[in-house]
Amino acid sequence: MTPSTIAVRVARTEAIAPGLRALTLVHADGAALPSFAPGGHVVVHLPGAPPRRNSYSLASSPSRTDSYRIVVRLDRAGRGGSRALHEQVTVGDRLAIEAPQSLFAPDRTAARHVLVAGGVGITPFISYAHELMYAGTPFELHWSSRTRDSGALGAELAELCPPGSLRVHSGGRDALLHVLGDDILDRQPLGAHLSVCGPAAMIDDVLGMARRLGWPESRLHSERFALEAGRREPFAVELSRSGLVLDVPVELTLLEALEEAGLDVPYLCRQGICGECRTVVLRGVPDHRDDYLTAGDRSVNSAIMPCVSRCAEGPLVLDL
Amino acid sequence: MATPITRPCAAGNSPEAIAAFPFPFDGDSYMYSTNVESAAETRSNGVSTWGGHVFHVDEHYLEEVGERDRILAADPARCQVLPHMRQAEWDVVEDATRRLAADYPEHFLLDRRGDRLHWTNRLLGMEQVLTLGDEESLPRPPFEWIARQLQEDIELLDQRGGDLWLDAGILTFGADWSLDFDLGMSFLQIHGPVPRVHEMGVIPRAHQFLMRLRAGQDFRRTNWTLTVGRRLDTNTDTYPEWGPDRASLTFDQIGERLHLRVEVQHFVRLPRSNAVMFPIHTYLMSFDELLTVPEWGRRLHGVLATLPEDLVDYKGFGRFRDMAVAWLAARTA
Amino acid sequence: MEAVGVSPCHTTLPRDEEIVFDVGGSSHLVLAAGPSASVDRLLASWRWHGNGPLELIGWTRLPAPAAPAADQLSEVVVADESDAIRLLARRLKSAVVGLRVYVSAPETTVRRAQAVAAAAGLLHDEIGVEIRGARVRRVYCAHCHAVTEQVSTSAGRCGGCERVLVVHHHFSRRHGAHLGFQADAEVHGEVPGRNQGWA
Repeated sequence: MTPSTIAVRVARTEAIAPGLRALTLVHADGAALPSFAPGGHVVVHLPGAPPRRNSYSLASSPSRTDSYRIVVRLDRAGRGGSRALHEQVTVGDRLAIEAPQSLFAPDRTAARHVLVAGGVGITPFISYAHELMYAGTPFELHWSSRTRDSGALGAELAELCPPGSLRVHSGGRDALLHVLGDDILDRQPLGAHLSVCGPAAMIDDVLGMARRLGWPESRLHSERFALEAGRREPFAVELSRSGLVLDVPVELTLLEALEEAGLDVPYLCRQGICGECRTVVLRGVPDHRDDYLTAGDRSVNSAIMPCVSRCAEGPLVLDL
Repeated sequence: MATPITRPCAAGNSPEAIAAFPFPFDGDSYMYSTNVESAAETRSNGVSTWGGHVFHVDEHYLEEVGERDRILAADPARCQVLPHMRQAEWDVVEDATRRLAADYPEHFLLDRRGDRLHWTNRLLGMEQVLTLGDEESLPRPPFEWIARQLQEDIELLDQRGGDLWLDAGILTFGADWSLDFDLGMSFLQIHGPVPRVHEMGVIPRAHQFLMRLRAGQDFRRTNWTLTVGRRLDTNTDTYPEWGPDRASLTFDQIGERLHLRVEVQHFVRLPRSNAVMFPIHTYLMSFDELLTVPEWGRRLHGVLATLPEDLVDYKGFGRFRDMAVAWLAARTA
Repeated sequence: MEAVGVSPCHTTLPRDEEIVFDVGGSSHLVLAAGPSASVDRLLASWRWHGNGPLELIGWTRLPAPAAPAADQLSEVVVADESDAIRLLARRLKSAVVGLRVYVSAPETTVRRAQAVAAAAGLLHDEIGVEIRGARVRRVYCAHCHAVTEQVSTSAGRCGGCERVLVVHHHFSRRHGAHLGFQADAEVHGEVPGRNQGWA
């Protein structure tokens, strides 16, 4: 079922750091926007052709229904979606977004949260900070960011978070891990949960450190920010039920190519995490770039997550 | 020992209510399935249509709200909210008041400014000003406050750790289960004792479906059983009160005493808490009322005649299944 | 206990057959009602992996062979299981994430320990239990909400309201008990099925 969209207008844009642009969105008709859970994201339907839909964390308070804020990182090697939002979209422009969903909501039974963000991975924790302040749940927020990048967001967070609960680490990976290992993750009271958001390598490092210190899986949560993952090559895909053969160019994901061809493939996150767009593969070897399929699933190559994955060895034949 | 609540809902269904009954059988046999469909659609039962209301106010509203009051006075544990479900609780208040005012403007009025709600319930003669998130602004805890204005039982599932947890709810009209016992269980644990549904994959699919439920896309399904007497409170808690009815049913009483019991269940994602809200509206129709639609009598006969033993056992009508089948057979030739 | 109509691989009845050392933990707390083969195995695993301190709380003297580093193992002997539960609650108040708890005891003690652990915020993958001795059940009465200890038959009398309850294959971790409902609610005196003990 393709979800309906909400028409929004860009009310404000803000260059918050090199390559980082914040957009404030309001309902085009002045109505209230739907509320959302912390960690929520919206899928933005980008204007123009070919049709693109990108997913962005909501970096605003969940209790604010008059506007949303998203932070877009410019990805020069990408397919142009973020470029459009940086260079073409301006105040007054209209966009279509889907109602927010949250696949990274905080555990409500946690007595305390330890939040660790890498770079633009800070964005979901902005909505966390607002909500945890409102609910009165203790937390500490660690943000690994080069000082010059943390600027406006850092100042905003410092004002929002209780004194001492926000720490910006500008010394890179090793410094962050050192602090976490020696000072933070080895002394959290029972009931604490750890949530990490940022590049995949950083998440692996932090979770690995936590596991070595005895953290069980049930207390570990993460959301990966998809960076440009690997080279893109065009490829062809055959749909076994209709006999249709599609070309998937470099600038489209497989999911987008299917949508362009008129297919209604279910989706949710469009980042390879949630499993909603799982499609059966009948022939060919997918280039798996998702975080959903298990190692076992991947080895038999019988399924693919079209929102992020591509083709390693064609011809790729899908059960569609 | 608690005072038994012996007053069942006395009045039957009007012809209009019968015509709009959520008759659950499409054919003349029944098996478990993950039978969810979009909640927005109305359904035809062959006579008229039903559906389209997550909270349904029908002709039994005052009766059932009164019944709920009596049950809660005798057993407050029928309505419980675990501490971490505060946000979900308020989400229900926000959602239910919005839906009721939109669907039944003749009965309910909602004037909302920001988080301040001015609420009017004309059926109960209630006017209330409240602030979302502020418990002091209501005379009762928020979930209880709104649940006492509804006919539905409501269960709230917290989504965390890759699972769903029954962490709040009200159950005054349950079909042989206990909220106080099941509170705090995961979805899989709750359905542990149900026969067949695991092997058949019904429960794993239902689980996955609920985990992926999106705000703004409500779904619905039905459940059914048989109840002796027009009695809504058939929680396990009060089994000593309604249990004897199962054994005392006689053939000549079937038309009047034996009822088809149907639950219309909805699944709604609450956006701010991310919880899944699960309202259940229970409808009762006597076999005499049911036979006013001959096709329903034929289908129910087929379903009861072919229902496997373990489902009959689980649904609790082993004592009178054969009697009911014979009774229907004689009248649906 | 068998779950009627539900195959063993789908049952959600709790696993409480043995305690296994979790090498992923960084500190360990063992409650043991006396020596047992699985406690010995657990201690041996811990000694082999040398993974963080271990505290052993027992209510009979437990022979504990020398640890690799004496300061890594501590032992407390308490008077009875109630003292053990109280000590567990105290320890959990000051515990940090990384702790694993293991309980090897009769059912009543295990369920009490689980309730204390859950209240302290311990999650399912941080605690392992082994029920020892006679298989008895704690039974929650659906009618009066009382929990009756030590029910060793498939139907038992409720300690709260005196009704004879049939013990159902449905378990609540929150109550630490199986569901019980009146055995002869439908026909007085007709208690269904088997009334024997279970293995």
